[in-house]
Amino acid sequence: MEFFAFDKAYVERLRDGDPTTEHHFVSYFEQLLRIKLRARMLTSDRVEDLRQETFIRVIAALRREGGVRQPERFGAFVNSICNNVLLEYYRSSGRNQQMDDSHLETTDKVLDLEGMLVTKQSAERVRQILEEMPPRDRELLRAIFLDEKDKDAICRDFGVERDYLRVLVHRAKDKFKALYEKDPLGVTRRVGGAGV
Amino acid sequence: MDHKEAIRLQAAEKYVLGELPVELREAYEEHYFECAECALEVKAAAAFIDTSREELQRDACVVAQAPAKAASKSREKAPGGWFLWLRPAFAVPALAVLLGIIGYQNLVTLPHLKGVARQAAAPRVLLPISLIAGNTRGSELPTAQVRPDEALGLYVDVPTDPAYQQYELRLEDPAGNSKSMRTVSYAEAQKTVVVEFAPGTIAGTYQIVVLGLPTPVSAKPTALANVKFNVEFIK
Repeated sequence: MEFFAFDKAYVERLRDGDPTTEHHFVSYFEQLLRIKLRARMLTSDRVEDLRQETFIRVIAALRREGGVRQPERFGAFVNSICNNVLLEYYRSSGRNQQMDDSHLETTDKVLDLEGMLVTKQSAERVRQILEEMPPRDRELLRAIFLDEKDKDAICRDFGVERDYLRVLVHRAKDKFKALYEKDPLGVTRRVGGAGV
Repeated sequence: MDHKEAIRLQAAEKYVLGELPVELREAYEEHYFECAECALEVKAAAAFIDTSREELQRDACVVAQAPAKAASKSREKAPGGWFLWLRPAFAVPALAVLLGIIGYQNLVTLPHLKGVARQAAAPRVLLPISLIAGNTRGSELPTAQVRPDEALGLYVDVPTDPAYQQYELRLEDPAGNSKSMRTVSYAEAQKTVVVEFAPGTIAGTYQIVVLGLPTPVSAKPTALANVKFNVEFIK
């Protein structure tokens, strides 16, 4: 697994418009932002709008003097920009105080990316993982992902605890991760000379 | 939240299952934006769930069709006054019409369809063209040799750019006329794209142009790549 560190050099290259660094920045944070925004139960269109806005503001901040004070915490910086964008969205969408608080509740809803991350490769691998599962586990996942019922009720119907569900997802995710590490949708590239 | 705590809490799984309380959710988000390892965990978990949902939904549709097919078969056994239709007043004209239809199909329709099927089954020239390679390697252009009016398949590798979620493939003929062949999404463009077209009777140098379509759609598309190839006709 390749790791890298955001540092002063990375931020400077991004500010200077280095194409490789820009490509890495977009591809690395694009999915994370989509995952974060979809976790708020926002529509796909809204997710894309807010994601774009986040990118625009990050680049704008980079180009301001002192815009990024801690380059080594660049990831946290991007997250905080996204949080600000979200707050402004909630305020401007005209929601009342009660509804504003609703996004502060635990949703207990499974993350739904509406197929944004599906590729032919991932579909084949997931199909294989699902086929290797005992039928009951497969049916449990089907009920959790497709039914609108409460997860506790589904777990009761299947005679399992919530921990069991978590472990099931954990094991399947680990099997899937091997493929994902190798080629995460073909979008992650190593940053050249970034001290990786 | 630090990395050890994220692992201990099984934060990635709880996050994608929507089980983290708000404060922990926000703390985990701040962490995975900084920690490459946890970023990979949450991306893999999200991708697994996203893909599983699609696969399980597809399986559910296949299973749902089976009872529907069984139900339609049972409806064919419906009892009823079929013998009423055998009275001469109905049967004779009906049989005459049926004979006419059968005759037309045997003498006209079937021969035509057989001809089309023969053409469709004929081998097609498939010319793999990589836009990544483009025309940069030497001056010799890829050449497709086809029969006149035969369809041609081009295998195109689209140079993707995360800035564009949609790509348009346009074909320019030797006369400079341009038409849109396909639009693909960013996800589809990760794999080789097939473009099928019929040169008709026009031989010469064609060009495939790949445009990145920005959002909003009112903005001007950006030409990302183009590659030329020749079409020659054989007898």
